[in-house]
Amino acid sequence: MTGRRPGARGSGARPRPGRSRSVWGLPSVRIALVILAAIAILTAFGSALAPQNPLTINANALFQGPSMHHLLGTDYLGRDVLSRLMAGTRLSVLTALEAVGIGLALGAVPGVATVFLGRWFDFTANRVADALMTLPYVFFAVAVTAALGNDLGHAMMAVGILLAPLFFRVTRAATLEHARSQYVEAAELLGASKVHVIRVHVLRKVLPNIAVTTASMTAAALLAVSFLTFLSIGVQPPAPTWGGMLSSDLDYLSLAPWAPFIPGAFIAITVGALNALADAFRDRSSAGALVLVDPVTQRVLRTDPRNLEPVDGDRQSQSVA
Amino acid sequence: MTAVPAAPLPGEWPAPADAPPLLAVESVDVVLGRGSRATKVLSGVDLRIWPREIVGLVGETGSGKTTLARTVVGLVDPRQGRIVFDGRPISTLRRGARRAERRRGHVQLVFQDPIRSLDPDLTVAEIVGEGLKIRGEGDSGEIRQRVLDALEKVGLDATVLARTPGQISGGQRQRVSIARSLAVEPRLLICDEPVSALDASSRNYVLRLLDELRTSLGLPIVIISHDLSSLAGIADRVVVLYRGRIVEDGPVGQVFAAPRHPYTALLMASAPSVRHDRPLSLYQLRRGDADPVPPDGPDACVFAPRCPSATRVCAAQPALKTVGDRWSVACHRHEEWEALARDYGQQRAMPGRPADPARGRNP
Amino acid sequence: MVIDNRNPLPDITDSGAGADVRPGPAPAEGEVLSIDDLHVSVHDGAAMAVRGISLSVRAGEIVGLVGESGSGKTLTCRAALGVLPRGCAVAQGTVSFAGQDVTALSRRDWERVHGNHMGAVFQDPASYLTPTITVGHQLAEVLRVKLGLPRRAAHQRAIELFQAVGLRQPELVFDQIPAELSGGMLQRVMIAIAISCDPQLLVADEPTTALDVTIQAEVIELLLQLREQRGLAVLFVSHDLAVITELCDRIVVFYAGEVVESGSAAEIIERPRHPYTQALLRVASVGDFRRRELEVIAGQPPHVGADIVGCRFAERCPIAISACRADSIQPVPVSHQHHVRCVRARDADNVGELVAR
Repeated sequence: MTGRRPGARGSGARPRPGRSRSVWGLPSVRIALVILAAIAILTAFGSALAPQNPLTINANALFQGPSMHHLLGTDYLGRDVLSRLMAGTRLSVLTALEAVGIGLALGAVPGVATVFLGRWFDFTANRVADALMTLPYVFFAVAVTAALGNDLGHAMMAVGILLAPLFFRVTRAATLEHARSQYVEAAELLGASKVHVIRVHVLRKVLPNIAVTTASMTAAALLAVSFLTFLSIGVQPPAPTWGGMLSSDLDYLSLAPWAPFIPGAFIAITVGALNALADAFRDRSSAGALVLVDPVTQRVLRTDPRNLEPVDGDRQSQSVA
Repeated sequence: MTAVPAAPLPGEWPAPADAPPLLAVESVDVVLGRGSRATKVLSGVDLRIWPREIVGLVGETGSGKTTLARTVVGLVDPRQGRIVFDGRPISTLRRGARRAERRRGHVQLVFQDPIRSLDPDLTVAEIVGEGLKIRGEGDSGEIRQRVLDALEKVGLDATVLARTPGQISGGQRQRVSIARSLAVEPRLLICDEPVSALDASSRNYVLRLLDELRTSLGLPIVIISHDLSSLAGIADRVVVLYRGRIVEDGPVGQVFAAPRHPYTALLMASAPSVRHDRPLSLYQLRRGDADPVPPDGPDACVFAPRCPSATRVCAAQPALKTVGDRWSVACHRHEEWEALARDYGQQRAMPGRPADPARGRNP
Repeated sequence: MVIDNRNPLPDITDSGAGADVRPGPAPAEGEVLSIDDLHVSVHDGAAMAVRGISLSVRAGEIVGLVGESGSGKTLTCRAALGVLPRGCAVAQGTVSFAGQDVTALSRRDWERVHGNHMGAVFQDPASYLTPTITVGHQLAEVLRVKLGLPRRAAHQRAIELFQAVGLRQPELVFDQIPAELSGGMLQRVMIAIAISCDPQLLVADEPTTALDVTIQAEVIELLLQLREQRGLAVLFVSHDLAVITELCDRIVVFYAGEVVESGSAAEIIERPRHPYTQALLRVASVGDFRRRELEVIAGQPPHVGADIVGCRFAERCPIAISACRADSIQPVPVSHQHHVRCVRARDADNVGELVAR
């Protein structure tokens, strides 16, 4: 483009002074946090908190409905459903976190680095990510467990490897956006090394993206755990898992039609909470990228919720193409 | 209104003719883009900067002025030619050596848009001190002191230290950007459109500030602008860039009194002013539709398509020719075009158009 | 259209100190726009950003609004166009267009006024054009919708309009999308769209601020030409007094939400009476690029909507006296159609003292 000096975009009303726009104040986020806190407690102390022993079989109390003794009823072997759910949380959540951790380490770190390591590295990393993204996770998990043993940990490691390219893509895109900014150029002009640029300028801007992706990927990993255990991959009965419970409930659907909804709802609520958190983070982080001009006073505002004060601006700032 | 008084030159300018320049841009060509999108943005640019002078580099959008600034500081590599600073070529340095050279902080660039060139998440203290931190000199106390010194030079005090760029005004942001460059004690400062986004009073404030920096630190400053008014009052020298070539380079007082290149005259006549005493009107400085078709083509003078005095001789790109003390111009007809412009203006008046639109206001 | 501002009105004699000579609500003949005692509140009524603005634009006249950011000139413009941003509202006063009160016009009625009677151009033309449709089609669409022209006629008319605004090779420009055109060309396209339905008034809010100086000069010339050829009246807003001087017949100086001085351009430049106007003149570009002393205006304007008793400029004024802070200041006539909101406007030594600085 030649001959043109585009100006900063103008429009947009200013958030009213005093109203908080922090993400932590949103009702959806608060509910999500409560749910996740409960899940976290169950993960840590699930077995101890369970009212009954999740493994105790009671042939006289098969498929009972909710009662004082069994708050969510019993399953096809008379075992207390609620206790099984609580005990099963630990395994499901820990392995999901394992997958996310692997994905983060294998994906986010190269994702940031690739922007600074030159064209060849970037090309190679992208092709590896492309290749991994073509693999369906169930089959890959089956293959890994077949090779390494039928352990849920192995299965989720496979899932983690397949989550890595998603982390890679997202962090790479976010890093690119910031690595090309003028303040990075200014730092380079002062003789900054790449490490300095990443540490001082890029990292804190990319972390919100990483946080969003982590929340979404944890939800995806939980679903993956549930599906894999539903297919009895990596499951060592009689240890309770959410997907395993779902699977066995479906086997006896005619006798207890209400049964599958219970583990199903558990999974859905947890995944929903994680997604709500991810959405809230995403909305907050994308707001900071814009520069708006208050049409009333022609003052330049940042829409970053951290910096809400109106500034005593001069005119709109302009930039040369 | 009283006449505008002329202030005396700062005494040290111009530097003696045989003094070596601090910065030399030697026959630089710059091409941007790749393959079919490649465009030659600068052609054969020759420029010298001496200490203590304020040089205005003027050109429209697309003239290559920002690219020239970025080439000098090494954000862009020239396809031909080189940049020499204090006798040492800097455009040919490899990565590590280039970084080491930058850490010395000799040549600093103040970017055009402080909103984009200041990290919105850092405080003013961190921004201004970044260069020192990268150098690793001094502990946090010394760095803080030098940050305060730099801020003081631009008229800011400790109250802005903890603020982020979003919390200060546009004029203050511009000054923080300048302070960041000053903190590393540069020997040459390039300011890209430092005042274009400011109102008249703030503009004058920043220009005065730059003038004082030049006087107190002996710091040569290059001010890049699309408009002569953005450097009026403080520039010693003006360099006019048109589509990647320097067309005129001379002392501002003499160029203003009698510009030797028709494009310079066009720039001056286009500048808005509250006083309407223009020697030549815009009308006289532009080609009319009835004028003969000027020579075109890759070898012709870049300004010919727009020039009212272009003739056959302009089919060859003119070289920069010396026409006075430290004054050069790239125009084949630099001696005749002005008289011709006066005559042309009268001949070119068309019906329905006021002869001098600059005076077309109703009383 | 007849340009009828050549008849000089009789001199207004001095009707006593502090006489209020604001134009009454009934528009004089030939007035396209008349704003009377306009007050605009912002931030949902939290502050009054525009206080008691009165101005008028006659047919074929070019009126310039000049002032700093936040002085109220843009809000006044938007109130005149009926496009105040969210949270802003006309709290008091009237806006009349060609004799009709448009202050409280409905959206539908405004749609009839926009384009046919009033056109507008703003600072960044690209943000007002659809990036994926050619500019020719965007203009032709306006013609089809507003004037009901059939497709081919609209196409033809669009090319004629592009020619009229000085675009070379208008047929080629027709087929370009905004990204392919320079800023100056885009602004010409905006002007073409704004005048396409032959409005009587063009409102231009900082249209040249983002343009190169040579292009700015051409756009100014274009506006003058449009006034000559079509009798178009223009309300031109800018923070740059030099640009205003190049173009406008009359100047209205804004400060902190009020009009502090208004009069013919020649008067304002030669004999400014308000200390703020004088300060603006001292810092304005004079077209001389040699070394000289550069002036600044000390201090900052008050916050938008600040409640101040007396003159809003008093804090920065070099000649303020106690009377300045006592009571609200009314505009005073100092000569034919030249009004100043200053208690010291007619002090004989006022003018001399400030110009000599």
